[in-house]
Amino acid sequence: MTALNYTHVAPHSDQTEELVLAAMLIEADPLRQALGLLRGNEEIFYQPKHRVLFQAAVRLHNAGQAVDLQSMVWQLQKDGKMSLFGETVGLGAAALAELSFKASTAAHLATHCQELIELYTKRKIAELARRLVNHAYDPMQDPVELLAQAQGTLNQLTDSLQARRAVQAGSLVAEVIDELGRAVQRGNSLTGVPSGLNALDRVTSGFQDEDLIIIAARPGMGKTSLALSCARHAAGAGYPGAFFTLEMGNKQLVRKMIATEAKVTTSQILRGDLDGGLDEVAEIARKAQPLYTLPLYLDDSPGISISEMRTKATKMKAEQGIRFIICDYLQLMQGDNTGKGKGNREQEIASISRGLKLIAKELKLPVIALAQLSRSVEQRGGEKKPMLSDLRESGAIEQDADMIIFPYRPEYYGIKEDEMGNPTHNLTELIIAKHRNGPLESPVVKSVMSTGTYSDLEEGPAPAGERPMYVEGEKVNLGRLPQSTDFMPDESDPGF
Amino acid sequence: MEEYSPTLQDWVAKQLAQADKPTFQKLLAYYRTRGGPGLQLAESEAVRRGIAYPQPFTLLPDEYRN
Repeated sequence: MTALNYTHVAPHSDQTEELVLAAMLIEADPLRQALGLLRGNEEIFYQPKHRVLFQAAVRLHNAGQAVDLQSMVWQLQKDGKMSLFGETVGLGAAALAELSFKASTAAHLATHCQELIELYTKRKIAELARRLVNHAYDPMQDPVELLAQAQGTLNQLTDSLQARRAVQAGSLVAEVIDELGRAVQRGNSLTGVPSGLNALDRVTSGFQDEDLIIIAARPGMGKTSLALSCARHAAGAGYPGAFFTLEMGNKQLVRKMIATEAKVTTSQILRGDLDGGLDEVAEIARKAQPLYTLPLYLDDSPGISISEMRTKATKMKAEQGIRFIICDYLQLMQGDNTGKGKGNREQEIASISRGLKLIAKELKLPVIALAQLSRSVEQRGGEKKPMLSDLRESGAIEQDADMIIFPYRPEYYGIKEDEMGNPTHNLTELIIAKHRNGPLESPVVKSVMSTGTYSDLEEGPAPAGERPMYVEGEKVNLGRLPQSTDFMPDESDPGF
Repeated sequence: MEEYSPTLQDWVAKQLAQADKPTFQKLLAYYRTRGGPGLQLAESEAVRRGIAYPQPFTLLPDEYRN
């Protein structure tokens, strides 16, 4: 193994930098093209002089001025940078003119810009590696935090490199057709990750990238089942996802998934309590077949910290292309041991919720975090519907979350009928108590807790006396037909 | 559409007027390739200096030329 040599000249190409700058000066279109490709980042140039020239071009362009030899001299003079190019303005202008004659055509501008980006990326990698070596020898540095930082930087570099690579149009056709197929299957205009519950998706348009979604409820209300149901559906619809399960083990979670898939209870699976014996096992195995290829990645690291989650999620995003993250549940996570996160529990929760929001923003995907509600819900008299203030250590969660959903099963509290007299059996109301980018609604869905199945309410007619009443503009309620027949059509009135 | 601010326009016009003959010819050649608002200023300066503008190539008979 060769020894590390930090005295190497950083990777760069003066000639390519000059060619790009010259091409920007000889025509207007290449200028716009270069500014777009280089995203106005002067650090892509290695030579300080070239950075200054690029900055001047960006400034002129942003001010709506033509960028040419003379306007560049004017801008450099204005910035007090002309002396970099010559002792007098005349000499400086001549040096610039020399530069502009180095390119007679801008034909290869895109290739040259790509070359500069690649050299810049190499410089950044070398810089990161040097920093990592230094930090790795520092006994005060936390390795997990260090890895998270390194992965974050490497991801940014990968993104910037990939975003600029040209792709052959044909290679994207299959992907686009796939997406089209999924959109047609969904039958609506979802812009985010689908939950599998049309009633919820209609309100949310799917879980949106960069959003922190909190699903909060009392224990036993079905948070995990709901999250698992959403994850199962999304992964099945072509959205790979990560499920961080701090409460249950991976195997327990898979058991739950198999139970849902095969419509049996988890205890039946656990105890082998199946009437059909081995034949039923074979049937369950058959029904669980889709799970084998499901792009859902489980992680049951206990007491995972934000930094660890960030590191793992970043890796999964790069390797598996995950499109959403679920965390079950927030209060079991650990805050970062350094900085502001250290302190009382409330501060720790604040640092966790802030960290989750940052992961969502950094990885550009929705983060769905489950959270426990305090006992105040149960201590309240009358209706037990949760409120924002019921969130334990709520301040920060409430503030950071883009959406807060409270799954509410009246049946859980022994409430068999709602105020309208509708049966509440196997029903869950998804109370959207906070929705930064949409309406606050409370769609009702069907939930069979024994198998952990969540689904939309049947749209067909219910048995007489329990017929769903659909009132336009209002939420769906299961209701009995009213005793009064005032509104019923007059039978004596002949139809057409 | 590219343009100069009035201040920049005055400044460029002044630079062109003050440039010595070889520098001005280089700038004129540059702007004839580059185009944009600088070309108009360079052409005006060329006229002021009495430098003939080369006729563009055309197949039209003389009587139809401007």
